[in-house]
Amino acid sequence: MSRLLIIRLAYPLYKAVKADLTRPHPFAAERVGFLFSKVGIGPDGVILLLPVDYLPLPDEQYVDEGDPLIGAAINGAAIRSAMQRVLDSGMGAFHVHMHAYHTGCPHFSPTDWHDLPDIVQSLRNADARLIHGALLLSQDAATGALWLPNQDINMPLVPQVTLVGCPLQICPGGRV
Amino acid sequence: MSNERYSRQSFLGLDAQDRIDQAVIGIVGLGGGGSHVVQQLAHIGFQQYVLYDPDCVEDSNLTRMVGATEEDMKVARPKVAVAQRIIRGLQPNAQIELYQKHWQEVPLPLRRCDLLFGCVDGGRNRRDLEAVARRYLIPYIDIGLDVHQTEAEPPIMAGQVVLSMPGSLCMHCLGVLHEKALAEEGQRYEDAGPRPQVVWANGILASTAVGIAIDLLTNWTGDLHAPIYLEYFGNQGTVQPSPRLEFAAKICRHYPITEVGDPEL
Repeated sequence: MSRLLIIRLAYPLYKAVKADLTRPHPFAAERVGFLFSKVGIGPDGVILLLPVDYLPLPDEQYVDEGDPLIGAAINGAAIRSAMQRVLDSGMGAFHVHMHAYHTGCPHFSPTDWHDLPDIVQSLRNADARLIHGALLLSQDAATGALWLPNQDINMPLVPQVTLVGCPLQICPGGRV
Repeated sequence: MSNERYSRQSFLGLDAQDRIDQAVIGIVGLGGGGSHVVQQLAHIGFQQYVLYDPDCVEDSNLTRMVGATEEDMKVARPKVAVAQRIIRGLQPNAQIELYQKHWQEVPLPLRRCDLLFGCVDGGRNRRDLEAVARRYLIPYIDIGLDVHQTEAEPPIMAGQVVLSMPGSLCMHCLGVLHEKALAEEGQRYEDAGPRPQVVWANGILASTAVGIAIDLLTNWTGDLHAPIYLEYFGNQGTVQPSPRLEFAAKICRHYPITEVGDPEL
């Protein structure tokens, strides 16, 4: 029963995030946002991450890189807005996007794994004491990647992600 | 685990047994209601339990605590040990955490539960359990039974099953809990006598609660919506949605979704 990391995302926020991420963009194939999370400590070192706020990104913060492998690229202003929210709120941030055509527990793409460490490093630059990471949604499930403070940027942890609502969707954690 | 064992519940979905395996279930109170819940969850195949009850089996429990024996009463066996025996008899490899304490004394293990059953006496206890569930974003299923005795009329047996879902209406919103009754309960705490309970009514409430839990985890009906507030009328033998659902507020003002996690972090 020992689970080090659990993300619990309640349906009202989950639905708001999905609604934003499925909006069409003038040129990007998918959308990106940032979730901000409160923390709870469980037994035996379990850490609960409980997102409470979402930052959608405006259309102009997307960059057209002309690479079909990249669903969405965002500019420095987008990252800075997420960093500012971290500073203002004192909450860790998750980069969040969606593989809208998939069902079941999704998987980060090689492009995601390549890009996420840089994003997390930027979030750490805002506050390195917090837990930052990424959340990937499918139509009905989610997976995550987390970096604890001082953790090797190339060694993310994969938490359990629970979507708290009807139905209750428990997506087990594991290894990258 | 053999597929044959669960073949009769395969209609719950192709991955239903995996979902049941993965879920960590907390049960607070293992007497009249909680013992039914534990027994059913073990039959269904749940593998991960966090169990709380401070009490030992007494003579008066034997009318309604399923799985308890006269021998348990004679040796004053802890109710958590009886629950463990029930689970082990069906799921020998289950992971079971036992706390022979009030949950308030060891609250941390509750936080890792994916789903929480409250089978407790009293409004204050269920109020506090719901508060913990809301703070750590855990669905909470509450069952309760009471028998109102009047001089002129036959006793009235009534109860409730509530699914309190973070982000949805809470038991305060639904009128299951209200301040006046909670205050009165606090004042008479010292001389609260034994509450009437009967095994068949506990069984109905527990079965209804387990049914909600299975639908929540497997989505087998595809039609479960929170909140759920079912009223049981024991004299008539009916369970039906509470009319209070129709008149309740649309948004919970007691537990804002932003007020979660450890306050100090």
